[in-house]
Amino acid sequence: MDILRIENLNKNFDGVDVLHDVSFTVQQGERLLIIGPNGAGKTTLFNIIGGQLPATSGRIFFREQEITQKPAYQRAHLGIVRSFQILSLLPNLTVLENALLTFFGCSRSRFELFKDWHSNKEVVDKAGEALKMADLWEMRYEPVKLLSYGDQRRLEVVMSILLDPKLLLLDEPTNGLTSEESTSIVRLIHKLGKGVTVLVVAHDMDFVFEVAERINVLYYGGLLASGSPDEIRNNPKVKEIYMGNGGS
Amino acid sequence: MSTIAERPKLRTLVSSRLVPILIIGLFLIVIPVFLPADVQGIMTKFLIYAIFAISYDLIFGYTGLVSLGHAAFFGAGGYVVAVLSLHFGISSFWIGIPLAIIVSALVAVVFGFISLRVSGTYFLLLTFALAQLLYSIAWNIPWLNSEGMQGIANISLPSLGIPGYTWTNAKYYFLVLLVAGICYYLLERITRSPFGHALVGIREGEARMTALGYNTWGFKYRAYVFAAPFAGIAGALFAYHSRFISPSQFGLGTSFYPMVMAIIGGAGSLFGAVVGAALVVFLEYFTSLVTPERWPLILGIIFVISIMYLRSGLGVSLIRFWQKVRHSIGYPQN
Repeated sequence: MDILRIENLNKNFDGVDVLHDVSFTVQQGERLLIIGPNGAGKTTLFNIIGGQLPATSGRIFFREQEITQKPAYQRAHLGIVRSFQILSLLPNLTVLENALLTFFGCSRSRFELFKDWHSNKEVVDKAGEALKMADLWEMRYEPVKLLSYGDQRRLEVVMSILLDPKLLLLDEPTNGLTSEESTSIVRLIHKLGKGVTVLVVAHDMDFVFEVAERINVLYYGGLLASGSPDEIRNNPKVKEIYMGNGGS
Repeated sequence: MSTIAERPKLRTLVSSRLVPILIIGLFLIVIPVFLPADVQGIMTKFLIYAIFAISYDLIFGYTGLVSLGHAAFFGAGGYVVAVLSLHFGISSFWIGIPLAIIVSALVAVVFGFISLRVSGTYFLLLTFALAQLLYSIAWNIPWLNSEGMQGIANISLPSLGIPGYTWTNAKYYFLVLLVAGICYYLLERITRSPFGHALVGIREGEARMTALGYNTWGFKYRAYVFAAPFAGIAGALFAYHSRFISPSQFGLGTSFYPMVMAIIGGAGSLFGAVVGAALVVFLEYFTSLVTPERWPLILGIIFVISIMYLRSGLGVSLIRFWQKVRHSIGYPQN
């Protein structure tokens, strides 16, 4: 079953075609990687799927339901969770506050007016689990801006995973991480069950080939190729424009 | 042995927040009894402005919405009890306050819907414009003015429905103290709730909050509407207190007050807003004894000093100082 279907997606920024006529589907449980050189439109594509940007034209279906016009928060409630390329945690709030806000986002208790937020055991436990998994429990009362880049990234990815997404959108999850930290993220993705579909934008080729079941190559706003990692590795066009002429 | 046994006692005394509560209690409950009536009146004014300031702080300090129209709700509450008194002869506290709550909330339902269409400076300008609209309505409609003057005079004191009850400054002070305590408690609960923390999250990063599943517009709108009745209550209490209301209760100066109080005391802290209200009201009073015409100058200087040297606000600095004191006698910092 398709979990996500994108039909003829176009995005135009002030006359510049950032995406043109992009169509593809993502199968339930698939790990689809999106690669492409800088400026290919990868993050724009993610922003449109996540609802951060409107599409100029085209349609998006999530589990056969059209979501093209839905605001980002409604997509989050459908189970579309995304992490951002640039760090997007709330820097002035503590690690614990960030975690609690994350897990209250899709909980019905987020509207509770007069209850102390620490009294919601379910959310507090989930936040605690995330912080322990990300090895940040000891730092929970520190403002996020005091964490290292890698710690912030890991925290964000761990929390995205623990949100029980149906569709997880990871934008450059290993950007700026040490190889050890990248490995721990790969391990987290492998641990996810087939109930979670993962769509990743990435640059780091080791990471891409370790995680991908299928790869879409974006080039100047269009879909250049789509196929298994081996097919992409051996695709001459991809070799030429993406990996350079000297590619093996 | 005895020193070891005594130290924890001293520590428990300090740690249990007993000292700050005693100081604040002494200041609010015991001392006013011994003050002259006019100073009791100033204490009342302080509490009314404290309610107004904490109401404003919910949308300003917590949610990060800079509004210059909070007087709309303060004025609405005041005009409700004034009109009840002038046209209907109703002075019941139990009708006036609930009606002030309802009317100011309704004003916020409409004004919030309009002004939250935009953000930043445009939001500030729209809230200002909408409050000015009420100002000119109050100015121009004869029904909203006593005959032959601007505003409504001789507003009757609230009746509590107790036969033979007469008001004194002290009694009114304690009524306002009770109401202020309830308002503070409710807002404190809101700021500790998931809803209140979501407001802070929106202040810090709206895009992330949306991606996490928060309908941020809805949260801002609710915050705006929830804050308004508190300002309405303050306005009604103020009208009873001064027994006179004029269109300027909707004016820019009135809107400016809670903002200054929140900034001086510490935006994003209810206690800070109360400290700010105390500072402004008492300084205004002492200035008026000496050199009333210089008050705007003095307020301006305090404002500049607090922005330059006490960025986080006097109230917040007091809390931090207290935590340091606790820490220095062996209590873990939290």
